[in-house]
Amino acid sequence: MAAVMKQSTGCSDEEWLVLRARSCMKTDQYAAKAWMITARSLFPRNFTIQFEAYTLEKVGKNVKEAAKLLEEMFMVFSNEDRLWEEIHQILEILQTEAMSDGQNNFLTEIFAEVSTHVQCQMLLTVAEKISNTLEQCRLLLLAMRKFPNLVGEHGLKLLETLHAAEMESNVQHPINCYRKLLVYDVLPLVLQRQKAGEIPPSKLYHWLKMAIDFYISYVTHPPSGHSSTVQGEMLSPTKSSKRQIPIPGLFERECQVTDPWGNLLKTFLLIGQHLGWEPQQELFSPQRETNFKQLFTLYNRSKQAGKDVNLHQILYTAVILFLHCLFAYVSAVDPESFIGTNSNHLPLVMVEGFKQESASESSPSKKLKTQTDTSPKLLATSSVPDSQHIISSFSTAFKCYELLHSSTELQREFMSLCEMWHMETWTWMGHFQTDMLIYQGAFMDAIAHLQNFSTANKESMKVRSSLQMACCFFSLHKYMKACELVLNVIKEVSVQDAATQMTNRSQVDKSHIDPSRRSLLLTVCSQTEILPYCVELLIACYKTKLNSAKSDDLALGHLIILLQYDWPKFQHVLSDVVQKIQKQGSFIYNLFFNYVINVDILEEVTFLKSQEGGKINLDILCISTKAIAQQRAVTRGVNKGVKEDFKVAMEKQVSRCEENIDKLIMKFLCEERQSLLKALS
Amino acid sequence: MSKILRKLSYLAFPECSRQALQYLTTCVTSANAHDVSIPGLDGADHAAEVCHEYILFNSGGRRGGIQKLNSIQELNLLEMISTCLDQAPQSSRYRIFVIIFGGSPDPQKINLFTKLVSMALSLSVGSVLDCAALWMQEHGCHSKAVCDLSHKLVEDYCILFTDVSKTFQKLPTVSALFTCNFITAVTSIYPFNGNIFQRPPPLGLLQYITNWISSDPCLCFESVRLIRIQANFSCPLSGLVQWCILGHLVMESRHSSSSNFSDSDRSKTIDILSKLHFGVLQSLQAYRSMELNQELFTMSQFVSLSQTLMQIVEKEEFQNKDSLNMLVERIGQMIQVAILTKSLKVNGKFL
Repeated sequence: MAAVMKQSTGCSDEEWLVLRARSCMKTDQYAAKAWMITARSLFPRNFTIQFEAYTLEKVGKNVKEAAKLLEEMFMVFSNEDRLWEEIHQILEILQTEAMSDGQNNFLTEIFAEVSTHVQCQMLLTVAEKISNTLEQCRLLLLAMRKFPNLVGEHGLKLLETLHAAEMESNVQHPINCYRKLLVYDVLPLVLQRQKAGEIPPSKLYHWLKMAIDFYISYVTHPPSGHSSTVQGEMLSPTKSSKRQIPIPGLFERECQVTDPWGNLLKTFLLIGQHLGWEPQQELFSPQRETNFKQLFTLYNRSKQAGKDVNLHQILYTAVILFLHCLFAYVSAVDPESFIGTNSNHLPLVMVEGFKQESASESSPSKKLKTQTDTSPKLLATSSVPDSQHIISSFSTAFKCYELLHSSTELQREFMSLCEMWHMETWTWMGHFQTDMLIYQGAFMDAIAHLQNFSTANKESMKVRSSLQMACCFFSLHKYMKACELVLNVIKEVSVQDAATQMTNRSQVDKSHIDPSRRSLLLTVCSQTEILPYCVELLIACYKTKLNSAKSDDLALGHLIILLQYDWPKFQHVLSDVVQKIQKQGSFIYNLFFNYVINVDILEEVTFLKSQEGGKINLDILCISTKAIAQQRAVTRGVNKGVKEDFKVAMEKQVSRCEENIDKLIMKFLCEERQSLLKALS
Repeated sequence: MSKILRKLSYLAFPECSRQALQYLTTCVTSANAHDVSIPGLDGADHAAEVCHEYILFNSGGRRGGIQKLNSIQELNLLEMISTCLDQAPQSSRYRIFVIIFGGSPDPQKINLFTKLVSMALSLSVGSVLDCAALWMQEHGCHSKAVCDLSHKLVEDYCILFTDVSKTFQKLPTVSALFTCNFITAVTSIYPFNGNIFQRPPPLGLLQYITNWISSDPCLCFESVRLIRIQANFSCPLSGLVQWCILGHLVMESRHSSSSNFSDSDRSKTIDILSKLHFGVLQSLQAYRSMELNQELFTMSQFVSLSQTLMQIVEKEEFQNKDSLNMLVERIGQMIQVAILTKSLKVNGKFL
């Protein structure tokens, strides 16, 4: 028949048949297909014709027929490059679709129609042919996702390949393409399909370490522009909040790591099952205390047993719980530290709290020595969002940290993990370390740490670090240094918060607290939240001067001005001050009428002048009485004039009593810096 | 008179036929069970008589029975027969059928049978259609009886109602063998060869057949499949090949036999025939993998087809060279694929 049909067109029979079919295609697809059947019957082993038939069905959108032909070609013409190109193209589209749940591509429909066995063979054969490891791994991953039965045969091998590829590529950072595929995509598949006991524990530990490293690096990735180069798309407002870290070597769709913590927990649980543990399913639940208690029970039991049987379980549970708490705490404290975390509030700061008792006979550090058995109480101001969770995250992280250092074995293992993960480079841990040192009362260490750390600190965290240093210096009785730092902070926040004045001052619920117990305060780094603390700290500084034998009117005067803040909170201090002045018999303070407007205080001071008050010699006018006396050049009637001036000044102050006391105090702290420091020198 | 006949003679219509059918079923199934049949002694004789009088009502009221059933009663009867066959065990189903409809084809019997098949078709009763298919095969699909039956069905389903019938559409899934034999008979009724006295197949029917064949390339070989148990087989492909070639020509040349076709129907028919041609090639391809090893065509068929083609071309003064080329190519394609799939054997001389 070939002879019959062959025409003198100068082309081969096969080509002629293909041309015939193509020419029919436009007018009558059935005629074209009829030609293809004829051609294939004439040249059953001809790839060109078979491929043309396939193309024809593809163009005609006949999924079933195209799939059948593709399958046939796969069986018969396994050496044809064009076939491999086609299959490769299909598989690439398949991968794209696996990532994005877009509408089905026609080519993947063809693939779906191919029998399962052949699909599987296609994937494996193409994967085998590819020289690029990453591509190969992608295809194998796709194959295993589609045919979970393949996991048993290829899963472990693929993990090894990825691991070897990562080693070979010599990338230092755990966020790399091989690690992502290994940890996020392949590992869960393998762990789910493989039976417990089939994988050697050393491998499981190794993968767990890799997974922790990867996920921690992922969640703690700093926002773009900080460490990585700023990309145009990252700057757009719609994308800025999205947690998507570009991983070199991967497509954008592949870089997506949804729910990193959830995946880490899943991996941990799966590996735990493989190792015969009974891992804590709810390890990341908000019930931190319960979770730690469970861990602690396990720890105690293993200690009693006296063996290291549960060493690894304790180690990894503690490490993972520690990291999760740590992350929760740090992302609350420094909302801008990680990409994708919610940064709609200001940083938080943890500072040493004040004793409720008015007198501070014993210093906080002395008290600490007597109270080492009870840990300090953590309190938060009401402006701190979700404070209970933040506090429990901190304390659980601290407990885990202690646990990890409680035995030489654990410490050794933990240290080796730190080394492996280069934990020293995790700058975000700095905040926790500072807070932990303050929490432990190791103020010297805390200051040293803050000073080291401050160079790397961001602008937004300056207030926090200054305030913490101030509270440390205060606790170490370095009042002047503390005062200086507080004044710096005040200057900082007065600029920062000028626009955003908060209306209500938040409160701390101290009702349930044993007043003798040490307490720490967690608050927001905003002017309204910090000012009360700063004032209280300064009051505490100047109060120390009350006890000294020598008179120090400057300190007393500053104290009086500060006491106005949040009146009558510090009313009890005023009586101490008054007593002191009465004891002295005189009081010289020229700033008095500039800053004292509180009626109660004005009254009290006026009273001092009276007979009942002890007829105290008050030199508190803006210009000293002595100076006035010199000006007037007469000795008689001087006092009368002064008396008049005093009365007028007092009346003027009373009329100012409606003024905003916060602003006044701020002004005082900003403008009288030298004098404030001098009083403490 | 036998016991059963006496018993039935006292019964009125639906009951007598129902019991008659029951009796037939028992006869056949028990004979099947013991696998013995002694001529003249077993119940078969009575069975024929019972069937004659109480199912076919052929006695003409000799024994005081009903003379003729009215339409409603007849429908009732058909329904009973259909149910009886459907519920009978598969091994004895056709034997019951033969007792009722076998033997000499008298008009009344054929009439009842035709109605039964038409009803079974509309209700998709596969078992009855399977029996009918075997009956068609035994009579030969080109025989007058079978052609008459098929013609009646075409009238019922394609001409009377031109709307697409769902039951007709899915006929291959109800009884593939019946569909196959039906197509064979239809190609015999409508040779589509330009004969003035024979109409072309109705467009609807052509559409049904093309769709059936396209969706199941093995459909045409249902009858061939039975070669192991049946003496002869029939295959619709020869007839369909003729349709593809001559039909196209008839439609293109304003042939008198297709004068009642509108232009749009003509081009539609031409399109369908192309699809049918492709379907035939597909079927041939499938035939090879079925490994039935029966010859479906002879070379002389193709020779005479080509001759008829040329006759029509001459007679109609057919001018369109492209179409003619295409039809020759079609023949060529079919021969090529048929040879390759071993459905056409050629001797060395031809090659």
